[in-house]
Amino acid sequence: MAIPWLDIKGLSLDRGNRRVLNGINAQLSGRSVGLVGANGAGKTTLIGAMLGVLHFHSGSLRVLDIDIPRGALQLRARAGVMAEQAGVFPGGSAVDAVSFAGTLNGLPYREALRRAHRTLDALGVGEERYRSTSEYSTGMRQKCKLAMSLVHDPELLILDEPTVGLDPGTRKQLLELIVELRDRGVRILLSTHIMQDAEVACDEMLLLDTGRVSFCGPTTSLLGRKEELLIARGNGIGDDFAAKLRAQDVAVEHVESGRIVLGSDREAVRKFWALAAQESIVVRSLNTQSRSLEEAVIELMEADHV
Amino acid sequence: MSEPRRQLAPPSSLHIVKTLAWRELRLASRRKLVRALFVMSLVPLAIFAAILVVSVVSEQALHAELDWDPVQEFLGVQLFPVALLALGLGTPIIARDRAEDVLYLYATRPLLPWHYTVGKVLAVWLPCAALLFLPALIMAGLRLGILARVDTWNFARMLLQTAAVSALFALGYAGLTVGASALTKRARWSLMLALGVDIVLPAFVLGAGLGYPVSPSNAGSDLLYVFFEDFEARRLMVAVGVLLFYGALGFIIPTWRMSQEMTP
Repeated sequence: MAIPWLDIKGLSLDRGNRRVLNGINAQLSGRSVGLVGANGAGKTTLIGAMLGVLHFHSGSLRVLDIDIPRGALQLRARAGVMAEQAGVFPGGSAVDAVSFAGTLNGLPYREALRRAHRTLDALGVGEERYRSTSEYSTGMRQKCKLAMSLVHDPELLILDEPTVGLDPGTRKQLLELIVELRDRGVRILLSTHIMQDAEVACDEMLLLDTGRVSFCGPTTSLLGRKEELLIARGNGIGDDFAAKLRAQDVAVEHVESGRIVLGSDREAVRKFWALAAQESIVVRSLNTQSRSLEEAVIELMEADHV
Repeated sequence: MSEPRRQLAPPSSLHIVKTLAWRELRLASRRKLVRALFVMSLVPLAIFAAILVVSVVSEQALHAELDWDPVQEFLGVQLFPVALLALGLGTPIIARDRAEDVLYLYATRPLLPWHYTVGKVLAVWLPCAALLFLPALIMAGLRLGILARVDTWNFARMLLQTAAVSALFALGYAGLTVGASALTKRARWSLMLALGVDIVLPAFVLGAGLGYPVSPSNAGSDLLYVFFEDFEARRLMVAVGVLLFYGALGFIIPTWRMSQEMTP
């Protein structure tokens, strides 16, 4: 079994009078970990605790085998952080900001400057790297922030909501880049409330819900908690048809005029066809659909709240 | 990104502070206002050097001793452009970072709040102290070379006095401007605040009939007076105390601000 690089035991943290993290336990060893949950779930606070800038009052936290908060500076030297709410170092161009980030992480100035250009090249930032960062679009700012977090070649990349505010093309490009970095051996912690992003880039998940862990483990096991769904379209499908299926103990997920969504187990399919024949319903199409991570997470969170 | 991975260890405090101060100086050197203030601060040196040479030539022509010593008067004039330079350098230095929400970004790097503060104060202190001390050093050197009455001991004493005035005056102004910068998110408000403390506060104190220095400019003038004209231990201690007080504010306010805002 792989050694966990993120080891959290009984972590609780208050901000003001509010308990933001409540007895978190998690051991994660995946190459890329998705830190997911709704806004306000405690994702950014957990990152702050990992970096040693927010002090937890109970529990223990080890990242890359470094004790936090005692070894926080050591972790920050080995990690690259792309923070959601922080901007870009102001007053200069992308080259200035990225090379400055490198020197702050211990690189000599000339080396930092050389690496800044290489990193910006790798991110596809062309001549615009010499323009003032105050003129940049959201996408360019995100690329610049990513370059600042990568310039010193970190072992761990912590990304806090990296795709927020990006257009679909830039978002896809950024996600591909994250996957590429993961495949090159950089450990990734991707904090996001956009489940599609986590589904694309992460092989393990830590799902937070109002400061508690709802799920911790491989993404596949989160997706595999429920079987595929059956989507049928046809004339005559509606509320009456759904009611008759429910009366036969078939789990109907959703119904609207001409479309019904139900569980795809053999018994449900058999009953569906039998009832459709009995009711003289013409079935125009029948498809199965895997449940998305978003649906899995919502279901898990709803189950927790019951 | 594909280069071999380095051994990543936290950099030394000296490296971090130097990096922060150097960046600020590099950015400041690109601003027209700061460049103009820098050039302006070199003007008194040129004028006083010219006057010194003319006075020496006059003394030789008239066979008389004018007994005019330029260094103290030079420093008295030089305090003004250096104070302006400190205001230009220091007032945006933290306000700009706060306006851009980058204090947390610093917290994601291997640095501590005091590294940040020392780097910022140093970025103001260093050019201000240098612009007081180095021209005064040149003046003192010229004076040693061309005034017969100046000996090496006199030169060395003047150098020490000038170094003390430069270091303390620059510290007071660096503290005032960086401290003011940490209290606002806009450089113009920091500037107003610093000017209020440096100009309006002494006016109130003077209006109340009190003769104590309460601003770095008052304290700097007092320091020059006690070093170069009439030594008074009590006046010296008050002036040094005021400058150290403002210097301390320049460390305390930004460090407090960082500890408040260096969080997500």
